[in-house]
Amino acid sequence: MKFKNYIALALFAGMAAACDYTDLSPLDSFTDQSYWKSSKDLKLYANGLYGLLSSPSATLDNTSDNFVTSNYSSYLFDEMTVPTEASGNNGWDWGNIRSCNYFLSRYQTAQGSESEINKYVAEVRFFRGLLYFSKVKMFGDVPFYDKDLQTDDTEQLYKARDPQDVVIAKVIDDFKYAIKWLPEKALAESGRLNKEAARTQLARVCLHFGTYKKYHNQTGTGALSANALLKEAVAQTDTLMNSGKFEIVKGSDAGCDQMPFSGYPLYYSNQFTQEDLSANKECILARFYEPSVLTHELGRQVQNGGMGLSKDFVESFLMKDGTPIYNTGSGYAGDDNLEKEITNRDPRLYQIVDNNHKPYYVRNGERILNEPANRVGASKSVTGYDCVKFHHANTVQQEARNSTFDWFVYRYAEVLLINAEANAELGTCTQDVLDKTINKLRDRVGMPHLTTSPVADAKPINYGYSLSNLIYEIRRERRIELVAEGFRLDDLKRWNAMKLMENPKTMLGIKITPLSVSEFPAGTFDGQNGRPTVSYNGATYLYQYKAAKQLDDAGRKWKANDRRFLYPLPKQELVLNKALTQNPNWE
Amino acid sequence: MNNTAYSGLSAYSGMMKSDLSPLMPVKHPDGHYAGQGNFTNPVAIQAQGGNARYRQNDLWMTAGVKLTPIKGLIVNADYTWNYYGWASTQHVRNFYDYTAVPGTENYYPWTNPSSVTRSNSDDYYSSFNAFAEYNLSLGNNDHNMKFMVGYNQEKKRTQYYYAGRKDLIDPENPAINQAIGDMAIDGNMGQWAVNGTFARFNYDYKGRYLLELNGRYDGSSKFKKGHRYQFFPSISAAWRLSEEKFFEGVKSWWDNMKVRVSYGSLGNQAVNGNFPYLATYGINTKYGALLGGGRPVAVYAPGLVSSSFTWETVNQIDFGFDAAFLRNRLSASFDWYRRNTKDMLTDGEVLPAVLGASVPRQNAANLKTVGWELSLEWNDRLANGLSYHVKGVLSDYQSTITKFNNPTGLISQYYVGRKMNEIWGYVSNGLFQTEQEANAHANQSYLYGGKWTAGDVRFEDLDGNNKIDIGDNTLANPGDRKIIGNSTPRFAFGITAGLEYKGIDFEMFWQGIGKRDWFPGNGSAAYWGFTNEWQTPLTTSLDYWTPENTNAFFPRLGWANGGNRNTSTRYLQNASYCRLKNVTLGYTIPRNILDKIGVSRLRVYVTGENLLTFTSLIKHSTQRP
Repeated sequence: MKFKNYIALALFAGMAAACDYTDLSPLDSFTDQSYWKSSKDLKLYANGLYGLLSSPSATLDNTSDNFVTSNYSSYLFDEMTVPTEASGNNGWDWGNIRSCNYFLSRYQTAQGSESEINKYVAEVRFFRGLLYFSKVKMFGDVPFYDKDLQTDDTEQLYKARDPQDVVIAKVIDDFKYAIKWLPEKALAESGRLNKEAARTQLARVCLHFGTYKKYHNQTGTGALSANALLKEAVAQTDTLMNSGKFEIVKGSDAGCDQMPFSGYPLYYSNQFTQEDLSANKECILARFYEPSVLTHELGRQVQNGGMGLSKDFVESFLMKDGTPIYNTGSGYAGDDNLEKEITNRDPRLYQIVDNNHKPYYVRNGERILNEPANRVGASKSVTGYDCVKFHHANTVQQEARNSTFDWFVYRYAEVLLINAEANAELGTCTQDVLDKTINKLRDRVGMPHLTTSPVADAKPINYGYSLSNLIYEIRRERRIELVAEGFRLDDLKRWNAMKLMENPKTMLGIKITPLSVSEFPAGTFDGQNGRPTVSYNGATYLYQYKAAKQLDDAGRKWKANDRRFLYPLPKQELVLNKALTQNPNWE
Repeated sequence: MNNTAYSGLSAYSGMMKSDLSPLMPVKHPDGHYAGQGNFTNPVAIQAQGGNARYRQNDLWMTAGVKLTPIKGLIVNADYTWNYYGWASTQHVRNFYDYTAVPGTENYYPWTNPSSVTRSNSDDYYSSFNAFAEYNLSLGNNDHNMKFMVGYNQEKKRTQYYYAGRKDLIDPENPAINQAIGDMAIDGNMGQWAVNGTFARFNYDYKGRYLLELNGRYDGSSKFKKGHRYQFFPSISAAWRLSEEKFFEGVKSWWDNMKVRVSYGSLGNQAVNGNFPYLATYGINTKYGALLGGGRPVAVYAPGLVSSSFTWETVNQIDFGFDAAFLRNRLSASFDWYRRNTKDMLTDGEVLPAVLGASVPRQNAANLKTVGWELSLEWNDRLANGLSYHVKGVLSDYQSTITKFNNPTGLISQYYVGRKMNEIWGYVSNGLFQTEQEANAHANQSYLYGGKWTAGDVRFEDLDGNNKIDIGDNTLANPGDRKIIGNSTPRFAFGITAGLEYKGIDFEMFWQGIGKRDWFPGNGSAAYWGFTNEWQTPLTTSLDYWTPENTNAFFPRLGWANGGNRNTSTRYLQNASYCRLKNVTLGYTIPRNILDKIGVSRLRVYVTGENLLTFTSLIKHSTQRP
């Protein structure tokens, strides 16, 4: 009997103590309670957002009039369909904005000096500004949130889209805060955001919306009118230019293992494959890479291709003396083959397009050129104009995970171009402005200076409206200097210049003549498996889309208020939130 | 492969896959392994890329005691301790990759530089069980009762870490202290515990009427305090008709008949992670950016969690019978059950994407499963010593959602009435045979914005709006999709048959699924064959549409038109099958021969597994069910 009692007692006693048996805590992670205590916590959190800055990529300009890709862009041919669900692919993803707002709702408990704390707040607000800038460009009106949402925040979750100008004002606020509290580049930790980068980004935002409103006839009030925005862009870039900290650099050969041919210096393209940009005065902010620590794939991506520069882009380069190629007396040698086409042109042409005057590889002190067949292959460079701006001369850099050259996140050349364009749009672009901006870029490659009344282009590309010669030339300079850096499509949209896409030369490659054919392996252009060609204006050109699209395809034309200026919201989001409306003309 | 700090290899990049060039030899004439540059020869990687050594120890110790303090009362208690540990050394070696062009060889990038990673894991588990049983018989053994009460607890603690370093001084010697390059470490620790008390009462009257009552009170560390413990009762009763008086007439050929009914509930705490109710921050110990000269640690915001979730409760009611006939040679057993899973732990209602995070797991749904199982068996032994048996089992079930908050009726979520594993798709009655047919048909640009032409799949316009799309993707407006099948394996069956005669034994086991729909995914290279430039064409995908082959199974070749591969009735496959899983033929050497060599039992046998499979799935793909 006693035993039975003991056992029963033991069991009950065990049970009472046992409730604590399952009271455990995690051993290797922490929650809100233990975080947000010091500026170190803020720094670790901000570290995780650096993926949002520009990353090395060879395909940034693929959807534009600069490039032809092996498969045509469904966006440019109006074949895009409304996505079903929100995801990173269609832009309606809000995870990163939540990450920023999560920080901004909780950092207040951290102890530390104001400048130390606000430095990291400034980094996070910079990232939030970047994210909302991208959302407004894509969708126009978007709902704005400044704190992270919970599942029961029904009013916020189901609210309608906020007007575009409201969000733009918030974006500008975020960047102004960043400008105020980020350290200067000289004082910032390497790779981290700095004040000058924030100024550049703000100037970029203001130029974008300033010109967008001007060329789409959209009024904005007060600080958000086209002129006010353009003036802000001028002010920010002026501050950067007057600081004297940055200049346009002639890229060193040693810094990128390059060995240029004599008479063909590579001061422009060298800059884009420099192993170390930390001391480079054209660099406002860079992504650093180091062998065995952090590498990227750009070297390999450039080679695997699937895209090539368009005929239209190549024709946009001036002659070496600054004359447009189709002006009488320009000295243009014609385009019967690549060699003639690049003779006596803007030196950036032989540095951007693969040709016999720029070494493709430098191996054991020997200069090696590319195979001509690679320049026209459909999965290689498609058009015959291989973009080698990011092509490194060292073969090791082309291997997977082996590219270690640094990448510009913000480059001083863009600052100069913003300043010149904004001034020109405001009517305040004097020769002095040009000498401080465009002409610095010209000096790097030994081109003559641009004047305030340049000679008109005899065969200008068709913007769909008339513009002054000065603005035309500034836009040309911007197109060439910033090619493949991801600006072109946004530029075309903000200038309301999508009519340029109707130009067949934006889809064509090299001209096919007996001379050019002889430079390629036999059979490259004839027979059933030959590269496709089309005749246009009395000449034959390489035309990648021959099988799929006519030169005057209706989808390539943009209407006055084409729905493609904005992207569609995913269908499911509209079903879930009745207050959201779809962008115009997207079913 | 275990986690390593540095191996860029995955099963995909290192092993066989569909873009391996069929023209590449294993070795070049000069003896070097061939490679194709960045994704290379799997034989070369196996031979030269390094190796991994993995060692594990699993030690179980149990001590138990059984006491009988008084007559009829038995007390059992046992304690188990388990240590499970594993350690691995992963040695990655670099080697030159020789392509078809001499002079271009370079280190294969995924294993360069060489590295060593050592991983260690130590898990400790302990459990303690104690229960007491008391038997009581009354009324001359007519009333038999058994009481049982008990307690059990289990706890597990896991820890894992790895350390790795690149650039071995001696590439053949993978020692962590003989490397000079970049270092990486990471690790984790976890723990969980469960405990509970339980009690059971059994009663039977003359072996004819049986009753059992159960109760459990369980708790788990995975739930928040206050939601941890829950009570799960169950009851079952059975009636052996064959013991009744009225059964005596048929007792000669109907040996046993028992009907049973039961109802009970159990808890399920299968959630990912040890503390899913806590919003814990994520850490990346080596973030992918060089800040301040090194790759820093980055901390990420936690996801959303629901703090109130608790046990899933599974309530099941079961009816069944067991019967035996003809001197127990024929036996049959049948069960019908209906299971309600209440408070199923799943993602909650879909919220707008502006939430910026996944909706937290909650007890959001209820699921009903109805099924049955049938088993028939015949065992016999003939006078000449041949004994044989045949057994067949057949079962089926279907699950349906009975509760979930989905006010808009979105098809991509659970909704009330949704049968689990149902397949939504388009209806297709064939391929376009001419371009005119394609142009005249409804607008299919939602599925693919480019040109639809002869050889593409024709999808039927079910909602009559001359456009093929998914409507609102809700039940009220599903566009041109409907439920075209269900991938639940239905009518699972197994047949075992065998015989034994004079030491020879033979047994075979067939197994299969009677009905199952299956749709190969959009990107499944094994099925579609050739969907992008990284794939090598397979012979199973050669039956594609051309003007000469208009009756083809696959649509016309082309990479751009992925719209052809949308879920549709045309490509829905029947994944039912019947497979001979096991055949064994054996012979036991007779005792009289064995006795001479002092061996007590020796049997030789030959066995084959998975020898035959019958399915309609073979025709078009290299998939196997």
